[in-house]
Amino acid sequence: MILDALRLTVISAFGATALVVPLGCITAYLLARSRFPGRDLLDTVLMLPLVLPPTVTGYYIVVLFGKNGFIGGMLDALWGWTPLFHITGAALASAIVAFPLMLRTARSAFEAVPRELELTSYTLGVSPLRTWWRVTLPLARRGIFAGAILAFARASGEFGATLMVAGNIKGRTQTLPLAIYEAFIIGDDRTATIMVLLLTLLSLVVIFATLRLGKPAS
Amino acid sequence: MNAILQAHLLKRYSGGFVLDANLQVDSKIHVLFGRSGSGKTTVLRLIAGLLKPSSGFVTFNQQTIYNIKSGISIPAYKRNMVLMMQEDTLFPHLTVRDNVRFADGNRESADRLLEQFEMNHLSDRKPAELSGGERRRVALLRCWAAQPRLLLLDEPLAGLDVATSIQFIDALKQLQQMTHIPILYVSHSIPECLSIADNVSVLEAGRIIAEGSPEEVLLGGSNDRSNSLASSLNIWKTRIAEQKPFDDITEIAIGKLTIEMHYIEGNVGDSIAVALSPADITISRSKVEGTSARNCINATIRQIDQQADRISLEVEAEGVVFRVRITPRSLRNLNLKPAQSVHLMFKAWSVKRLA
Repeated sequence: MILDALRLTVISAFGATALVVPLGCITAYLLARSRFPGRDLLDTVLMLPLVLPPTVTGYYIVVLFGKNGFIGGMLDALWGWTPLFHITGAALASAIVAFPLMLRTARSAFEAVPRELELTSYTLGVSPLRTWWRVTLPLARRGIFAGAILAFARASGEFGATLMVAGNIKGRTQTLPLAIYEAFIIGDDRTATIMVLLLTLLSLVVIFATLRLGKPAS
Repeated sequence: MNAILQAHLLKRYSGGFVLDANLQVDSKIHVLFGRSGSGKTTVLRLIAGLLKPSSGFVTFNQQTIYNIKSGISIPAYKRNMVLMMQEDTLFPHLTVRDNVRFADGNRESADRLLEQFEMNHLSDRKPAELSGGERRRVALLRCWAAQPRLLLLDEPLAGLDVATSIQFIDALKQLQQMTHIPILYVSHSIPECLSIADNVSVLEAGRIIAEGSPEEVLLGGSNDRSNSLASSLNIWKTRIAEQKPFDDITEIAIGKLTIEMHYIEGNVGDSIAVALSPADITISRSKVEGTSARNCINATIRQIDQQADRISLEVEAEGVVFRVRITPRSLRNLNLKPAQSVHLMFKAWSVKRLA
C-alpha cells in the first residue's frame, strides 16, 4: 500500500510539475511584461485555485474533462478516453491546484529581470524569443526552480481535487494523502504514521530548498 | 547634406511633453546635446526601435527603417543599430567574453577585441567583478562586436571619473577609426561635446534648436538660434591675453573687457573657450569695496526674464552680454529694473576653461 501510494504520488507530482513549469513560465512572462485586453481577468482566473476549496476546483475539472464536458468530450471523441479516474486525472488536478504557486513565483522572478537587459539584447540583434531564452530565463532561473519545487510539493500533497477527479482507487489513483486518509479511517495507525512522516520529510526538504534558492547568488 | 541617418520623430506623452525632433546624422561622431529632460534618451530609443513614435520616419542610407505613413517598422533586433544605455546592461550571468560575443557568438573575434583593448585578463570574470570603467568599456566592445551600422551611445561617461572617461573616449575613438561606424552620442556636457563631436545637434524641450559644428553651436556662431545656448550659459570663445603664473592668474579678453581667471596652461594668444555659470555672478547696486572677487564690472541691465521661480537677467558691459541667475527675493530686495546700472562680481575661479 505504502509503496504503491508513494509511486503514484511521485508520478502524479512529477506529471503535474512537468505540466506546470513550461505553461507557468510562459504565462508568468506574458503577465509580467505585456499589456493586453483581459490581462487582469486572466490573472484573476489563474490565481483562483489558490483560494478556491480544492473540491470546488475538482468539481470544475470533472465538469470540463468528463465525457460530457467541453474538453473531455473532445478527448473521448478522439481517443475514447478521459483523464477521470486515471492517474493522469490526478496529475491534472494537482497541476491546476499547484499552478498559481508556480505562476506567482515565476512572475516575480521575471519582473525582477531588468527590462533594459532585454531591450539591449534586441538592439544587439537577438530576437525577442532568443532573448527570452538567453537572457530572461537564465536570470529568472532561481525563481523558476523555486516555483517548480513549490508546485511539486503542493502537487504531492494534493487531496481534495484529486479525490474528486481521479477517485481513490488503490494501486491506480490512490496517492499518499489519500492513502493516509484511508489508513486513518480503518485504524491502521502504523501505516498512516509512516506515510505522514514521509510527506513531512518531503515538505521539509522542499521548504529548505526554496529558502536556499531565495537567497541571492553568492 | 549627405545624411546617413535621417529622422523626424514625433512622440506625445500623456503629461503634455511633446518630442518633435528633426535629426540628420552624417558625421563620424554626432553628438545630441541637451539638458536632462530634453528628450535625448527618447530619441535614441525611438531610433533603435525600442519605442514607437506617434508619427514620423527614420531612414538609414535611403532605406526606410520606420515610416508611419507606409506602415513600415523594422523591429529593433533587425535594425542593426546598437544602443548602449546609460544603465549598466552587461548580462550579469555571462562572463566578459560571453558578453562581448553575445551578438555573433564568435569567440575568436571577441578575444581579439578584448586583447586589443588590454582587457583579456578580464575575459573570464563576471560583470559584478569589474569596476565601473571596465564595465563601460566591455559594454562598448560588446556593441562593437555586433558590427552595427549605427552606434547609439547614451551618456556613456555618466558616473565615470576623469581618468576612466579618458580611457573610454580613447577606446571609442580607436574603434571609430578602425571601423568608421557612425555614432550618435548623447551628452549634456559641453567639454565632452567639444572634445569628441564632429557635429552637434542641440535638443531643448523636445526640439532641435541648433545644428552644426561644436564650436559653432556651443560657442556661438553666425546662426541666430544657436546663439541662444551660448548666451544662456555664458560661454565665450576667446584668447589668452596675459599670463601671470605668480599670481595664479590668466587674463583673457572678451570684447573690450579683460577678465581674470584661475591660471591655466597656455601661451598668450592661444585660443580657448571659457564658461561662466549664470549662478556664479553676484549683482550689486553700488560698487563693493574690498572684495576678494577678481572681476568687478560696471554694467547695465538689458532685460529681466522671469519663468516661474527662475529669474535670469541679461546684463551688458562694453558690448559683452552676461546672463545672471538670481532668486526672486534678490530681485525684489534690490528692486532691479531694465536700463539700471549695476555692478557684476565673480571670482577668477568661477571662470572655467572648456577646450
